[in-house]
Amino acid sequence: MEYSVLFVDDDKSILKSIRRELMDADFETSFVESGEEALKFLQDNKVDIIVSDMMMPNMDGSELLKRVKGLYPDVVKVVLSGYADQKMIFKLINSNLAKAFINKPWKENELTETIHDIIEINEKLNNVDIKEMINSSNKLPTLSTIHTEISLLIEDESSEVDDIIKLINTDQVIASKILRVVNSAFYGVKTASIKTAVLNLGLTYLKAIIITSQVFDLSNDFYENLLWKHSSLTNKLTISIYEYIYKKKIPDIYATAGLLHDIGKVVLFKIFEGKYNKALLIKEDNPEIILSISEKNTFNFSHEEIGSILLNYWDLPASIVEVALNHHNPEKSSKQFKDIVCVVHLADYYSWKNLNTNFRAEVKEEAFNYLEVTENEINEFLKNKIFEV
Amino acid sequence: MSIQINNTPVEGLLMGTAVHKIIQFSNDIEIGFECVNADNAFQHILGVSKEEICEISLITLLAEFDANLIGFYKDFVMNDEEVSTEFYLNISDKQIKANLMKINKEYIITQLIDIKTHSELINNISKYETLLKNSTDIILATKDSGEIIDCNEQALKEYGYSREELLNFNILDIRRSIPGNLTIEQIYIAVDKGLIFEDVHSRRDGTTFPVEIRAVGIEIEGGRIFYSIIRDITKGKNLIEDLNKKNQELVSALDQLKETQIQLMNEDKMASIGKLSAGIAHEINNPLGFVLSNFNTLKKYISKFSSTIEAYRNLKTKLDNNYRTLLSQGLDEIEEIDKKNKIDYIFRDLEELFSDTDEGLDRIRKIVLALRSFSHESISGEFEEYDLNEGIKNTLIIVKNEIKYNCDIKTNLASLPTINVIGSEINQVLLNTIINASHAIKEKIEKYNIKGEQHGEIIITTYCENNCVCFSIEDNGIGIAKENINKIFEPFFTTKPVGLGTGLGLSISYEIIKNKHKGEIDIESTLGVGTKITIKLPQLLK
Repeated sequence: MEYSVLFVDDDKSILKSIRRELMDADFETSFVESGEEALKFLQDNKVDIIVSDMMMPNMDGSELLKRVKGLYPDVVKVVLSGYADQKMIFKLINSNLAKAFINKPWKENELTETIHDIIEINEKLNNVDIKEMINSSNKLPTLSTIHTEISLLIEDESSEVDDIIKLINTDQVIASKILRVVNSAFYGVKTASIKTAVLNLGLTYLKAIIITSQVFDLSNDFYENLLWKHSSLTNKLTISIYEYIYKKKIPDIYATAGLLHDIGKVVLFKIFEGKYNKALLIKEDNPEIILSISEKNTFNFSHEEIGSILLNYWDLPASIVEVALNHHNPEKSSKQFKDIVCVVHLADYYSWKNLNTNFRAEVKEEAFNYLEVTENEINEFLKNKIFEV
Repeated sequence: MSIQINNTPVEGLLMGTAVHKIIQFSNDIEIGFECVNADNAFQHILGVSKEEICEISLITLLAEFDANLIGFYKDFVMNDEEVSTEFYLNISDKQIKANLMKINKEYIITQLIDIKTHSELINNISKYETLLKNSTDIILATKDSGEIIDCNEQALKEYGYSREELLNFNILDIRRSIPGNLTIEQIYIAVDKGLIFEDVHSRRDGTTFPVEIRAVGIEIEGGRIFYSIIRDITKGKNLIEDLNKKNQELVSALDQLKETQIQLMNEDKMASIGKLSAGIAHEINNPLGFVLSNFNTLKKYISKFSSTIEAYRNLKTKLDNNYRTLLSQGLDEIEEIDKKNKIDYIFRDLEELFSDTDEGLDRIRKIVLALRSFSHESISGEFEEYDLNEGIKNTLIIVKNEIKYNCDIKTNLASLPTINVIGSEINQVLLNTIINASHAIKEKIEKYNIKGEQHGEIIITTYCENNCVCFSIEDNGIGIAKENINKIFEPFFTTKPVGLGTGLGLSISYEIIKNKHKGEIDIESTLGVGTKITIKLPQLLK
């Protein structure tokens, strides 16, 4: 299937240069000069990816992307802009108004590569079999209405933090689940108050935290509990390692990436119950087995695939989706999120290592190389860390 | 006969005297009085002129105030045993005591004393005496020669001498000779007209103190007496020192304030530049984006050309080697390569690629030039020749991106002479006012939710008027509320949300235009309609 990409920019010269640059591309390209034209084009044509400028007269980029998201939820949205405001980029990614962000001026081949990355991930996320399986299964965790309401409140820029806190507090079960996640998955946050938790962490986290609290049901199952311990520890380690390597606070959109990276396993648990339990037992006894491969052999798909598809379906930011998809194969991740995928890859590895189980994740040299650290440096850094779960 | 009346100076106008001749008529019953002499005070007390006193009988005059007086006088004259008598009467608000004395059978003296005023005066004099005695000022009386002939109590207290000792001194004994002193002669010459001067006096214990002297000379028989009021001004001196110190402090505080103001102005400048840098980056990023992209495409074109040309050359080689049979096969290959490389498309596109790239490079060049002239003027900070129209054009290139999405800009630039100004500061004012205008438009569009319906408009006009170079910036933005229009030049006044406006822009513009350039800045605005800011800069400013 040939992908169709629509470019929107009010500067005609930009469009012409893109057309030239992509003359040999293996996807179809179209060009329009305004948000209004883009909407009109979308009405009459099949578009898979829209690449839009931000600053445009009348209808600006974020307005256009918001409308596209509402009208054509399957169209993948990408921003191409000279406004290199980190905050805005993160905001767009977090609200899922953009799956990727390309800076102007872009580098040679950057357009093609980004679009290829998107196409590749999109193919995986649109695995028809898995989608069908998810749709037909009644054993999947469902998101409560409160989650939907909170998501709406978060997306509505005019809503107040207090409204959201009030809403969470109306359901004590959810509130206590959220607190459990907050208290175990973040360093330095220990609180019994939703308000303190939300104010400390910020709203960006909330969506992922609520999903986590919904998916990881408190159960007596050994593996499920172990998985929860592993996920919360991975999140803590992700934050620590990221901040150690980049010497800055982890961006909000990355701070919950560790929490949901293994959500596919929980899903497999819920759907296949004992069958998946068995698969895990085998893995526990034979650490050399690569779990995803045995999953694929038994269930036709891996926990990475099903996890990322579900997260994408729940409209989580592209960063979190990609971490779930590629955390075992960071070399396959898109350029956009390679940093966080590599960090979670390491955190995943160190988390299992510290939980003293026979589960072992494979660690790849490429991740250390990409992050420009050595294994020894990370070992040294983590030596004095406390891994309480 | 003539009788001289000598008034003592103190009594002055308070005691009047008149002499009357007694005229006895033949019937022995009627008596008349003829005025022989009356002094000014007498007239003053009675309130009549000398002529009236001479023409009208005294009795008639007095009878106006008290009718009984006719009889009283008659009885006194008739009674040979009485030499003097007295009576009281009120003349308007004055209380008068009258003394009558018979000189002989022919003359009678009438003395009128204003007793109320008189006693007040006596009282006052004693008050003054007390005042002098208790004065905290030193009072000295000296002769021409400088000999001290009188002093008050304060003098004894201040100098530490007894009265006897002090009255044996010459003024020179307590005067401390310092350079710049007036000589005693100079003082005495000047004192005739009254003199205030400063000096230093010494005490018995050898200590000295600064004094302020007010002296006046009074002529007396055989010379002059100088009265000096001498005041210890140590406190005053300290006060002045204090004041000087305070003044110094104020001056340095003012310096600091000026420094702070410069800092604030720089901060404001940085804030506006910061706001713009993102826009400028975008403005450069766009052309740079497509120029780079075109350049990369060009590299690709070249490789496509080379591979196509190579194919031709291969064929040529083959032909040269007489493989003529391969000709048609070779041509087919070439055609295929030619097609694959889209050589036709490339040829068609090359011209446009170059003209696009040229245009992009020119856009970048212009922005960089404007930035350079903007930043050059920012660095120098001195009064120099400045072309206002040029400044507006440069500022517009820089702010264009910040504002172009919300508003159109119209310029009506008249031909202007250059002015002598601090270019960077005028640029700052231009930047601030243009950005303000665009913000006002943005605010209106957001407030009334009229995005796409109404486009903002900024009109920039320059003109010459009364030796001033002027510009106005007019917008159709949100406008300023009536109650705020008087506050807009106040520092830190802002209606923008916290964190968005420093509240310094307009106050700094005011400072720059009004104080530094002696120009005028004026704002007219209607809420919801728009704002017009007019700035006038004098053409000749040193």
